[in-house]
Amino acid sequence: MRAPYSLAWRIGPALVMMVAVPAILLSTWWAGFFKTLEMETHLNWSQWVFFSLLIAGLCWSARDFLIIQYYLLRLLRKLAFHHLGSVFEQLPPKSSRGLSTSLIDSPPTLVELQESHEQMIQIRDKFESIDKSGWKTCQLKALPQDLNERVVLVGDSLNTELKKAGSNPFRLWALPSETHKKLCEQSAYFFEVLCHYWEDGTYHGLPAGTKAAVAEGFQMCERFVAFQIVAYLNAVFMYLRYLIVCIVSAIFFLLLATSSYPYAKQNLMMNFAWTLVLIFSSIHLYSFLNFNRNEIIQAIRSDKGRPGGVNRLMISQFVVFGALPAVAFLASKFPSLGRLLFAWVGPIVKSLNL
Amino acid sequence: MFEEVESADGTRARMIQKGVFLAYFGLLLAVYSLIAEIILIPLPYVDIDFLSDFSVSIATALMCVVMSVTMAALFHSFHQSLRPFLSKPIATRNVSIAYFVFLTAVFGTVLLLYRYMPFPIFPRDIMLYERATRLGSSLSPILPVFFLGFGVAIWLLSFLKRAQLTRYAIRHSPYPAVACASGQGFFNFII
Repeated sequence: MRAPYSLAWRIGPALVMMVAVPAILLSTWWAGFFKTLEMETHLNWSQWVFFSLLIAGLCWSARDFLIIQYYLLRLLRKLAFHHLGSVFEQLPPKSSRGLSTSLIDSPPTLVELQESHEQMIQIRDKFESIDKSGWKTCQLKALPQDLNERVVLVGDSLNTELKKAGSNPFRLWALPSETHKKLCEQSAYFFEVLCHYWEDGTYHGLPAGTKAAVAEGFQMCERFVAFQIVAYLNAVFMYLRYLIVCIVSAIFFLLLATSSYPYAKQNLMMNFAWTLVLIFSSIHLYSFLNFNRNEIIQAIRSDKGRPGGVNRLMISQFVVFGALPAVAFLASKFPSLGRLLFAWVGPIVKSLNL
Repeated sequence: MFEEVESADGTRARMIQKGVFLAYFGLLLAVYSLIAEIILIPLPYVDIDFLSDFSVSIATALMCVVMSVTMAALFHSFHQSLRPFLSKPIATRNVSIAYFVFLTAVFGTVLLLYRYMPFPIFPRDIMLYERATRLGSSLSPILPVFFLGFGVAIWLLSFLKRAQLTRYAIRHSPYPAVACASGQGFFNFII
């Protein structure tokens, strides 16, 4: 994911880009894209330059989208077989809001970090309430340490940022905040403590009541870590959404540019643009389906293990990225069908007196 | 995705941000210059004598003023976003204002000269003007430039948002850097 941002050199994807983009540009040049019947002006050259930039950007975004969705699916599959896998079912369904490639999903806001802070307070209170008399040193050390300091650290940061947010007319997102960073650090710490808890079995010799209380405390830690992982996944999905915006806008404006002028090879150019539309619609729907049927995403969406009813998101995605491009494509290829499909638009526009 | 790839002071991130700004203003300037050039093509059948057709002259002069101010603003922004690459600081407020006024005067003069100087006008220029200014005719060569430029501009803005997200959010990993058996592989999982 950081490759486009950090300019990290990876020979495989970079090679694909270095071959694919010039190949597309050369073949379109050879095919006579943006050539006109009249005398060429510098406008034709500028159109070609912008077209090249758009194609390069499109290929770059598409490559990133494919790489990230591949690795993200691997990560989700790995999480599904992890100790934390079952914990995701216990998370509230509202936390799954941003876990899709739907463009209308909004990222979590700063106020929503309050919930993670409250989880930390509950963890602290739980471990403080456990009677630790007669415990061995190794058992004491295996508990999360300095919980009060950690709660205060996150709480101070959250209060400061919430005060700033109060004076800001815009809604502040949680992801770029300092509190989010601190919560991630706490999550990393709790994850490490949990690893020892899962592996060592330090608390086997304790009385049943104490052992249950400790187990409950660690379950709360697991929920906290799972919540932070979901916040992290939110950031990754948001990144994917920006990539989709890049791809969709590039293809949409390419289609508009191609159809807005009678080029010599306009038919070929339109076919090229429509091919891109259909390819990227298919890729998007395929990856959306993959995410949608993933065990972790389904577990987060479910209401305490129960499946969450009709998936409206899936229907809307199929309409926007499946049905709409297909209908528009068919309407452009078969004008009589287009007139039939869009005959209702004219009367509506007239009745609205726009 | 979880690994630390950026230098601590964020130099690389800032360079990328500046590069996107430079490309963005360069793109806007290029598209606007093309449109301005066509709009201001002098036409032989429009009487440019100031006294004989006052309204046409006023409208043209106003158009030249608006275009020169916009082009000066775009060029100034482009220049300011180029300065960090030349290891020069961004200009102060007073210098910026003086530079902007100077640029407006230069662009205004150039555009007025281009509009009113008796250059030879060819039929293809007249045809280009007529086609370009009738946006609904499906023959305007400005429209594809505008659409393609707009597509690239949206791509650049999304790229900037992605870079911001990577810098502020994705850098913070909820996984421990020290690998233990149960959490092994998460930290260095994705590229």
